[in-house]
Amino acid sequence: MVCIEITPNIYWNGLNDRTSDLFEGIWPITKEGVSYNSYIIVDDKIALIDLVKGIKTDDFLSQIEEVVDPTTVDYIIINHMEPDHTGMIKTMQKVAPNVTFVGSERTKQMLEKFYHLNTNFLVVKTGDKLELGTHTLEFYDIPFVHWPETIATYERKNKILFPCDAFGSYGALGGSIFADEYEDLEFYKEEALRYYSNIVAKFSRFTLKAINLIKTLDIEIIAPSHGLIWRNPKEIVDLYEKWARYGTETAGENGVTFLYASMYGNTEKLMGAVAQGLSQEGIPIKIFDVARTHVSYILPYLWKYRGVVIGSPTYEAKLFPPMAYVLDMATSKRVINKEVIRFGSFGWSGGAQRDLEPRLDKLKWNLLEFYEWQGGPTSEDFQKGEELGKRFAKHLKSLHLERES
Amino acid sequence: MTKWECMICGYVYDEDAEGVKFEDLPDDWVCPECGAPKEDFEKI
Ligand SMILES: Cc1cc2nc3c(=O)[nH]c(=O)nc-3n(C[C@H](O)[C@H](O)[C@H](O)COP(=O)(O)O)c2cc1C
Ligand SMILES: [Fe+2]
Ligand SMILES: [Fe+2]
Ligand SMILES: [Zn+2]
Repeated sequence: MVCIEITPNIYWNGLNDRTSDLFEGIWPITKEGVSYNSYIIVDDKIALIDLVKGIKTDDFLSQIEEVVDPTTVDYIIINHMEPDHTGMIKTMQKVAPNVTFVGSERTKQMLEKFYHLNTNFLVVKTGDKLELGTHTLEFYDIPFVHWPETIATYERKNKILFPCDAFGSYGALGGSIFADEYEDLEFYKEEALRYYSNIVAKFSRFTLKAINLIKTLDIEIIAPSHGLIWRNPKEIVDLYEKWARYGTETAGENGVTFLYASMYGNTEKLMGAVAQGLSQEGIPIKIFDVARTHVSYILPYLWKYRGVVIGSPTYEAKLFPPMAYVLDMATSKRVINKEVIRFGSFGWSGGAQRDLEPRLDKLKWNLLEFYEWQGGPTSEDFQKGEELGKRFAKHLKSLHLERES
Repeated sequence: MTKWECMICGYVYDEDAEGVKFEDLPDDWVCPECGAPKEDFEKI
């Protein structure tokens, strides 16, 4: 793409990545892509805010050349050390050997360890300012959103916040870099929740802290380092705040993440019956075959829906391994406050339920009931499954009503 | 010799080394590494 002006003398200088398959080496982005947004401020001093992953070096430098000579860059602000924003650091230091990097004390230490550079470094902490001429940058520590060294940068003249990963999303940018220029934001909002649940969710408490902090600033534009730029910042802040609360205090939305897996179809058969029971009660459900769906796509539903159904057969006296993996991931991401039922087939002496219960204790999820049967389900099992689904839906609806009133 | 791990950042609180049982720490004690509250710790 080309450099795009956001406000006079402040430019988006990002890269779209449509060819990487995995973000952070784990999260699929083959279909969705991702953007690494870097920004340029041209003033008496020239500053770049965040860099990009170490790809498309020529494109990155050419884009800078559209507005300034890259060798004259004075400052590079490192909001966050993760290599998706610092991969271009060595290149930039070679191009502009007199550049001063700016970041937290922690970033200074990590920069040395990650890139072994001998550089000028300006350490900043909350409230510190950097004058560029008519523009002034201010820095705010937002630790653990989602790494310990993270800061956000605020440009006071144009009231722009550069929060790096916070308020970011997957999804390469389409025709525009601005959210308000899209007819339909559904794709980006979904990808923002997937990104949140994959990367930020575990640190929801810190995210809320960061949100409270930035609420003390007068912000007109939020320019994150992944995804769209928001000239209506409330829209994305409200979403992030809602999601962060799911991870700290409030229970999620009324709905069910329906996880199942099946080796030969016995558990799958009852899946249909349980889902029917749920649907008859008119509750939103999202069904995932956990053996065939990457956990990246499951986490956003686990994050937002209050209910979880676990349909898993016994496998070598334990849960079916892909199910165990999804639950491990939910534990690691600190998915909390869920209501749960389970069903599943076993062949001789079972074991899945015994394996599940300590996992649920660890998750602090509330198991209401479970239903197991040997081998293929009978018509009686089908009926029991449907009733199980209905009871669960009624339970969730009553919790939901309780909360509404 | 009980140890407690911060589920957020991985910091380990070692009761032996600290000389204070985790349960005996005040309720407003927070993880020295990341600031997470006591409830984010689990026994390891
Ligand atoms: C999502 C994520 C979480 C991380 N969590 C930790 C952590 O809790 N503690 C730590 O010391 N490093 C953590 N790291 C930093 C990595 O261990 C570090 O970047 C390392 O150099 C990665 O090695 P690799 O390039 O072989 O993957 C994390 C990195 C990422 C991307
Ligand atoms: Fe990051
Ligand atoms: Fe990032
Ligand atoms: Zn911690």
